[in-house]
Amino acid sequence: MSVEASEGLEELVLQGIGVSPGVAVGDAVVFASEGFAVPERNISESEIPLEIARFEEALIKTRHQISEIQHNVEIMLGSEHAGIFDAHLLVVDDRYFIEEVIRSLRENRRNVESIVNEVSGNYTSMLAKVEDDYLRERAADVHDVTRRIVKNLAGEGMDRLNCLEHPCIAVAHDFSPSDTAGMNRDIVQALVADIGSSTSHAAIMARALEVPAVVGLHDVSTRINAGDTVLVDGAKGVVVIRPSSATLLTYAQRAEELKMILGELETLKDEQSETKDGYCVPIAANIELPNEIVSIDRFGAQGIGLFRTEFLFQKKQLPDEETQIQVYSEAADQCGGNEVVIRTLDLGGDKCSAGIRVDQEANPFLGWRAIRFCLGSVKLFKVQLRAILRAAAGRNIAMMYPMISCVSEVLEANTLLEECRQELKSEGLPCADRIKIGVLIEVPSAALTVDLIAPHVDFFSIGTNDLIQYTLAIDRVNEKVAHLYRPTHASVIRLIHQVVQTGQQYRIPVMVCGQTAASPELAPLLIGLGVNRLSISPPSVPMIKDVIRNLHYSDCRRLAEDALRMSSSEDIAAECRALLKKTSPEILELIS
Amino acid sequence: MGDTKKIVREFTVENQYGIHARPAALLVKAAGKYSSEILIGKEGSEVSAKSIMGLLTIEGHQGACLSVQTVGEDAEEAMAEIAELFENKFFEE
Repeated sequence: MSVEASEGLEELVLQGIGVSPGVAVGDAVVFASEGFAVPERNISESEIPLEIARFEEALIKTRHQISEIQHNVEIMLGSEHAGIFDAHLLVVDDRYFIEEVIRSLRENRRNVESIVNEVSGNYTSMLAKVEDDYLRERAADVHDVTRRIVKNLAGEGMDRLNCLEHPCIAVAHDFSPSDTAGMNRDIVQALVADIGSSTSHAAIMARALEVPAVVGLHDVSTRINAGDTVLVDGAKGVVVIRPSSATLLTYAQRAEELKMILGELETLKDEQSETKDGYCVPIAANIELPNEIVSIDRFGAQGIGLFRTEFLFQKKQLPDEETQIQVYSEAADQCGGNEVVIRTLDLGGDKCSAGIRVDQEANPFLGWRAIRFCLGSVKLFKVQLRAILRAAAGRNIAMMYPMISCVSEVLEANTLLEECRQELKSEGLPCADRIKIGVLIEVPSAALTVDLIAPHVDFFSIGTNDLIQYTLAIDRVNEKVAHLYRPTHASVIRLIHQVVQTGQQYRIPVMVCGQTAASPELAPLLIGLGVNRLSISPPSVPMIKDVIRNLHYSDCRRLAEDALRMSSSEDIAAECRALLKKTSPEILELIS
Repeated sequence: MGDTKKIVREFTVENQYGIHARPAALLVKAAGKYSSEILIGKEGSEVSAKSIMGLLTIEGHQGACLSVQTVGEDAEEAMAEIAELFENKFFEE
């Protein structure tokens, strides 16, 4: 379709797979997928050594370029993302591939570009037939490297996204790892591709660089003309080609509003997290990796309500006591006296470790995981308990056990903890005499027996994600049943209510860590149910703090009382939404 | 010529995403250290563990059963290192 033909065309809205959130509008630059013609010619016997020399030169150049990309990616995104280019370098060094090219060159007497193209084409077409989706995606790796070799031979520039000079929306059939690794996010406003999935490199890279991206749009690269205005909504997976002025206005207003609200929220950093009528609900942070701790101060969270420790166990070499002490101590020291709650090792289910062998189980989420695994691996568990006790000497550190399902597990864990304390004392090593102990309430059996657990702990922390999953027997990553995952199901609300009531009876504070606490619609319900503290991911803190500051505690209480009487989860959700609409309409706008 | 040995073992791919680029890279790096020939086969097709492009085409998805053959003077050592990778799920999870 020519540019003229597209003039006057109406806007076209396409739905794809949103793989990196964010909204961008700009002029499209379309990269033709097969726009590069590989030169083909026959060669004479005397030219063979020359062609081989050109091939070797191109391999050296390609290796150099990939190393450079790898280096840049490592600086920008860390070694995990850079690791993929190890494989790319091995493709360049693949002796079998190189020998095959040289052999074919000698036999067929054709120029090396066409031979490389043909040999690599055989591999990629073999890969394209692979049934496994994830492995089939790897054809992109081979194609990416061999295309680079061919282009180096033909003297063509390669880094497509890196050659752009003006801000634009990049559109292509597909983006290779080296395309996206080289891109400048000030120039590339968004990525739009015909194919791809959320596990493709382009998607991973776009998310890491915070560039909005929509993939899986089939033939979008042929539908968009160079210079067309394109609007990309990465969160919703929507691409609007030639958006009407009304659409643009709507999005511009929305973008402006979002920007303003987010700007305002950031000013709340040092404000108290309390309702208009003076009810205080502190918000702590959920931390997965130590380098996230800096964001606690940035977003104004109070300490760490959930410090996950699995990252320590991801390496083949298990962390020793000293390593763990250092990590826990540093986290507490960085929190300036605010409490840090360390969750003991929560492996199993979908979380595995390189250094710990857990056998495949038919039902991993109901299997040998979390506290069950720790109590069965006493040696490993005691190293962690000792490290926590030692780090807690003179520091505001608390700890909690994950996935407790009965009181005997708490007793057993506490006994081991006491054993560790005695050992440390007899070894003359400083450790905390007293440490606050909590349990994660994330299984219905624990929620129903909190009164039995209460005498043995200092606080409860409700892990709503798992509690909902186990209560409703819904695997929320299973798309066939995900719609049945309902945080406002009456059973869930009753269980939370019961935990809070028992907590009050035993004067034990109750915290909620989980998606429910980070939801502006559901946080008021939790507060109304009597939850004392919330723990959420740091970037969500300003929004939830703002919601709390616009609430009256009395309204939350009323909402909770109504919810406990209602039977339909949809009705309860609607009530929650109605309260948010009344108290924080701008936040409702932000999330919907 | 020295002592040529031949060892054959079977492995099940246990890591979630199978032999994708990163595990394949680990295999190639490990195989490259040995003088022995190292072949990986599945359902009649066979590739060299020293070729990443070959490995990527073998379709080693999770649950796939692959046969590994090492032939050469250091066949035992080579097999031990390859076995370690499979048994540790390529250190992925």
